[in-house]
Amino acid sequence: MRLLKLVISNKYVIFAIRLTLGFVFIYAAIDKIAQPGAFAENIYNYRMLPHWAINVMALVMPWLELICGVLIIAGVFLRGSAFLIGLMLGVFIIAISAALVRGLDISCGCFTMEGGHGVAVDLLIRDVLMFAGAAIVLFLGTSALSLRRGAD
Amino acid sequence: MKPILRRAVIEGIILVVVSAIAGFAVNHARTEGIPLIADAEAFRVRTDAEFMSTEDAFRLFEEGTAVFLDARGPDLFAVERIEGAMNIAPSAEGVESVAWLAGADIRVICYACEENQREAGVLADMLLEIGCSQVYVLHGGIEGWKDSGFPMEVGG
Repeated sequence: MRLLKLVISNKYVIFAIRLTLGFVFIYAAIDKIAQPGAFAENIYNYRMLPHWAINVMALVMPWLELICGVLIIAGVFLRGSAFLIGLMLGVFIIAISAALVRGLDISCGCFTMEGGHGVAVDLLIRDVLMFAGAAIVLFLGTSALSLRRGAD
Repeated sequence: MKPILRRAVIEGIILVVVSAIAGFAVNHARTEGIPLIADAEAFRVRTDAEFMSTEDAFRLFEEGTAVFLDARGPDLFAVERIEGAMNIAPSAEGVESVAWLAGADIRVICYACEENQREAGVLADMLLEIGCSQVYVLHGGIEGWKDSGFPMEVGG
């Protein structure tokens, strides 16, 4: 347990987590920003949001992913970006779980808007792991290896 | 609230506001931006054709510049339909029977019942594929038309 704590509080490990989360979220945002209509359809397919909220979500979330992805790598607004990435991953985990329970045969809409990965347990595991990474950055992240000194 | 969480929430709110501004601004600047409030029917009915409101469709109906195609089954069509509509199944045979529309300068308005507007979307897409350029899906289906009090035909 002590070894685990030592590892996850290491500044290079945390930086590696930041890089991973950052690049995943930047990559995920690009196609969604390019095709908001297609992303809105992906959101609709989950049957979780009222129709009036779908387009607002489709317009705001990709930019949130992009901005948080850039900032978590840069170490600027580190707490806020880690918090939001964790929050988004929490939403994704709930949405994917609900889709699996209801047996929806839909594309996850994670990275590509056309014919992406179907919702499946491996996506859930991936998101849970990234959620843990976001929590580590949120609570243990420091200003080390950041553009902004004193970010913590 | 713990200082870390308090700080995370405050920074998070700032980032959400910045993201919302960026998202709405870019969408506004786009020529093919999406509306802020989504039309539920646009999600239910997957089609490349545009939707037309019942009021606009009625205006064309009065002008006689549109053809109405009913994509429901013949049994439902026999019970009631939009006045002058043709019953065309969303199938190769059905579309072939109205292939002449591809060369005609007339608007084509497809509809089904609201619950099953998907059929109207399929028919509209098939018509677009054969070269009809002015194809629309009637918003709200036959129920929307009927609720507006526009002309219907009943029975055989």
